[in-house]
Amino acid sequence: MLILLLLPVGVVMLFFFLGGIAILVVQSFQIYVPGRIIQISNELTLENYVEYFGRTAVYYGFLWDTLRLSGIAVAISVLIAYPLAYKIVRTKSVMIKKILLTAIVTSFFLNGIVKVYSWVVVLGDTGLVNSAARFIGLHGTRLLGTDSAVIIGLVYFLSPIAAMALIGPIKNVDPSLEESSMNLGADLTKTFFRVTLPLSMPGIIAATLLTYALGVSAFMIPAFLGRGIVLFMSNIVYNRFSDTFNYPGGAALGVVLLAITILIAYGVNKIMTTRLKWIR
Amino acid sequence: MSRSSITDRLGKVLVLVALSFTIFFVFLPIVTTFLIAFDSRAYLAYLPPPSLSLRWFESFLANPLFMRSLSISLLIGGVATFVSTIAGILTSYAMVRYDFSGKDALNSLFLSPLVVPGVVTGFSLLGFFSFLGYHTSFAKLLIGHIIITLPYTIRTISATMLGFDITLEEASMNLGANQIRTFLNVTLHSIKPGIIAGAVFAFAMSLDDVAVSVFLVDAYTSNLPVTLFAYMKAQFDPTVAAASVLLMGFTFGIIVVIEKVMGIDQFVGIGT
Repeated sequence: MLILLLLPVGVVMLFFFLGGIAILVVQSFQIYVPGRIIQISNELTLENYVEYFGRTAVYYGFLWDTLRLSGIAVAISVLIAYPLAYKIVRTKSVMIKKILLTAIVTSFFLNGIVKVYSWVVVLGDTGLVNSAARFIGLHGTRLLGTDSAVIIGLVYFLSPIAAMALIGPIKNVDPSLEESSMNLGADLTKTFFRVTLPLSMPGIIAATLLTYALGVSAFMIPAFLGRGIVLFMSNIVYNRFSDTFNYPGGAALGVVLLAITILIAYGVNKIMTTRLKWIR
Repeated sequence: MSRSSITDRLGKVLVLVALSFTIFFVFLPIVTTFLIAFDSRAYLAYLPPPSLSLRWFESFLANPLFMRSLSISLLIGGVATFVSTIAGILTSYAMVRYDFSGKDALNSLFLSPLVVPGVVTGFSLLGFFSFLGYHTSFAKLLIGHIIITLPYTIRTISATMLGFDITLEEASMNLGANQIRTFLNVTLHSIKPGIIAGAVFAFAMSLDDVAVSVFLVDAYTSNLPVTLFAYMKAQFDPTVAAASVLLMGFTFGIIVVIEKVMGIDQFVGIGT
């Protein structure tokens, strides 16, 4: 009975998803033959990895950009998301809770195309920012294709997710602990920094890592807000393959990107299980 | 309670400012795109628009390429959501009601598309299908979308099932119904909000996908986000803004459905 229930999902995931990943890994060690996408041969090579990370230092730059810009975006996102999540959990006003929640969920479900296009329109050469600058007599500047543009786009995309991920951990902080702290004479600020924050810290770290994994995987945001100047790993995989149909090369990059996200996911898992042990 | 200290009052003001800024930040791009969509000029130019027009909506709706992509998106979204929802129900039931070795590993596997970058999923699927010699784009897109929507249905439905009172099932079976009848009459009915929310979630994610789909489309078959993506790379006129406004309407629809079915607060996990 159990087998029957799990069969459909098992087949799809094990066969197609894992099969695909397997092919990806295998192909990353194959020799690139122009004109062929997939090939199976016993001749294995590390050339694909060496090309990107050995000979040319350029790709280290893109990898570093991916990690660095995502990191900054995540830090800002969590800083924005925490007060939002805290207000949602602790506010006594049902209306405020509803409004804030609706804002977050709407922002989350908004199509990626809409989000990216909207920021291009705001930050573009004739966009909102430059129009406003012109209106008050300042010169406009090129805002797209900069690190900041990509960071803004990422923050816009990641903060609703971070907020939703933080609601759980904050909710798990027993409000009576906060009450006791205040009854003992601490003000709200002290209570927050000495009681609430430390207790929600494992959840904060988990949410941060989860958001970071999503940030590193970003594709559309760096593609349009980076304008080809700021590139993320996912953009390089796509661009390289579109240009040269070099599947093994793209596969090597994909494996590196996959390894990074698996590491992050493993980190999240570690924290979650450690935290459960601690609470018990 | 204690008296409000200066740091408290300062903190409250700061938080208020931060939250207001956040709300502003959320709505700013949306409002801007909305304005651009009704701009009568033939190109992107400085705001505000001198006059309004519906030309960009016409441009979008009259374009056969966009309309075909839209119908493919809706079709793929519909079928993938349907398959994922059924599979999600079965899987959730198995995971929540049964205990077996390897359950944690299997759970990680089922939820893994959430952490794997979209580009990696799409690229590896492309390789896999090429390896099998299979080239029908529509089917490739469908399988890809099933893979990315499954985690959402499984997560939402199992969360609902965990909150469901198992004694109701036991009562039903004590009254004589067998396991299947219990499942159909009692369980399914009670987790209905979770099923609908999961399906809505899945459909929204399917309609949003670019990173996976971009590797699985071909010249004749593409989904809407990828078509818009390709269009945006070539030109940036407000046709995309008009499409965005329509997509915003779709998002609004999602919010309404979620609110009606289980309430946004329960959807996010705050409970009552």
